[in-house]
Amino acid sequence: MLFIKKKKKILNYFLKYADVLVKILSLPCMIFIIYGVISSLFFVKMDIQQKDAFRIIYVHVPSAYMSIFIYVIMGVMSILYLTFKDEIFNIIAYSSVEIGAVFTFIALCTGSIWGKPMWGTWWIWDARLTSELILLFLYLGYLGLRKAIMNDFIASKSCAILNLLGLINIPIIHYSVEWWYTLHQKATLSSRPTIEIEMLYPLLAMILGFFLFYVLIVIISVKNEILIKKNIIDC
Amino acid sequence: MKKNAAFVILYRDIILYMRNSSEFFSIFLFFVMITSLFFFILSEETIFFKKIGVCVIWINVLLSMTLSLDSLFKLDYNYGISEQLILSPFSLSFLIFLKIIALWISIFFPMTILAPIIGLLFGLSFHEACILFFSLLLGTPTLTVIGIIGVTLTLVLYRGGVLLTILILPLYIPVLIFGVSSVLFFIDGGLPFGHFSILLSLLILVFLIGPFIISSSLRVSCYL
Amino acid sequence: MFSVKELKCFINNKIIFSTLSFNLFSGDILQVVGINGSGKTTLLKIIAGLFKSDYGDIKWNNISINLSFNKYLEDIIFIGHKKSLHMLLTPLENITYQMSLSKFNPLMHIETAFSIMKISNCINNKCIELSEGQCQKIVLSRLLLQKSKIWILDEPFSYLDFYGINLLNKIISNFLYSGGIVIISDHNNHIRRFNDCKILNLNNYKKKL
Repeated sequence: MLFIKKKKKILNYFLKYADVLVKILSLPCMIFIIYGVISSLFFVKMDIQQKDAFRIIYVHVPSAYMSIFIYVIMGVMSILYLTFKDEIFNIIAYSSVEIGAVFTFIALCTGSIWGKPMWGTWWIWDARLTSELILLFLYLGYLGLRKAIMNDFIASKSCAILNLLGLINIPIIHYSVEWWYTLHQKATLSSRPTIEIEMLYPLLAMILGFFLFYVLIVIISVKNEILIKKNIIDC
Repeated sequence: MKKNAAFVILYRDIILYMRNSSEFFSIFLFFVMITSLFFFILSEETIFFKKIGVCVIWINVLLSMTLSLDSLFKLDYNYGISEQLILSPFSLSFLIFLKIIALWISIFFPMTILAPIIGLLFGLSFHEACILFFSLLLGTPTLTVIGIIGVTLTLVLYRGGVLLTILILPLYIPVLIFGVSSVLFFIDGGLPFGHFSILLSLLILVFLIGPFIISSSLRVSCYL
Repeated sequence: MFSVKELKCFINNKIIFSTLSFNLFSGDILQVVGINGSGKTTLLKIIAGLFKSDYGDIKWNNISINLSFNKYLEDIIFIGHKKSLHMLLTPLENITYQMSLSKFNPLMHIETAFSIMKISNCINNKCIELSEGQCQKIVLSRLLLQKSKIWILDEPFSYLDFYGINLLNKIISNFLYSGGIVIISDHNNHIRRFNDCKILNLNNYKKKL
């Protein structure tokens, strides 16, 4: 199995540093998530209106942020892949799809569980929830197309084009609460934070923890894919 | 030469749709039958019968569309005509634009005319049926382009039917929302100019970037 | 002059051929030879421009084809494995459609071309009712009608009867005499009648793994 010398460098660097990166990043990831979980469950004071139900914000908001962030990362990788035709971008995009879909699903589920005591309903067709559901379908569509097409080259290019089409959904999700009158509340983290400092730190810790978790998963998946392509391990 | 050539290319596509007469009529029959299923189930005294009728008509237009999209493009790909389109010195985006227009004229324009007539069955007044006609007129070209994008992405697959539906349904949802809500808004007494302007802007956006996306995915599919 | 330099083809991380180079001048004919699966069709597709390879350069009249792609497409005819005929249309409609995709007017009447290829009797049937050999002759009648300078033909002699093979050889020799370039892949060596036919053996360009 022969790679062109230019590509050999990037992929070899990746393989060399992948193990090291995984070891370095796993400890902060664990610390952030453990801190976030413990302090959100035990140390943050109860909200006056919602009592204990609001604590689900510490899972809902990070997973929602990550679902959008991962789609944007995939979009950037698709643009880079279509421009530079380097395999590494394609592999990173393909590895992030599953975890992105899982985060979107968690965001939707925790959101509807939170919505039942708050709004009295499991689901409502307002702009933000509908566009988040569309995002889930976009992830699943990418995955379905990628696995259905047998030829690897055609599959990766078609999925890159599909990804770029779906990018139009991201501003709609983000700005839907500002543009339309919706039931969903406004953004939790904005330039003028309306949330108390005590509640903010565990939230930031959870967001960072989820982000590091995503990075870890992507590094391990990409390393796997590269080794499969080099036929060193069997798929 | 080029002006004549455009008409020849357009004419050939329309003829192909018409010649496949069994499939051509069965799409309209499908549309009429599914709509009348709803008509049989719900009685006229059901609350919101008119509004449900409008939603049913729009969704049936979508469903019939996904059935009919595959045919011409898949056949063209299997017979190798897509390769010749790519290798033509004319710009591929223009040729695809002609194909989109051919598809719209042969199948979706008749459906746009047929749907308000069926809508009269659901108790729509003449003016409401006209608004339904305009919303479909603005919505169906967008749906055609999005559908063809989906078809060219799944062109390589042997049986891409269900996957095609999953891919394009998220992209159909905005058009569906604004199309249906324009008619519902009119039934409730308002003038849906805002909805129409959003539909028109979606149409322009999709026609600007659509042929380019379709041509790049067509080139990718012919790599095999 | 048509020149290919250092062409490499990578599909699914496998090298099909590498460091392929040749030059062709007006009146040259090149036969691409190789075992099944050695990449003949892929090479012809790369030359036609359907598949863009990142490594290597193809030049037509000293301009790279990637830079002036539309101009290059005006000068070539590509007849591939899949006959580009729609089975539900008649031959006349198919060829008219094909001619309208090219920039130049046809060189002769379409009926004249059909009578030269001896398929005038089936001009009004849909292509699905015709035999494979007749369909192949319809596809090849495009060679008589479209003005071009390079022909890229992938197994054009398949399904042809004895008359068809002679006719195609005559058409190719007329084209070469008038200064065209022909790149052809042919299993049965029908093309070996041309004594100065250059041969490109793809088995030599496969990198030993």
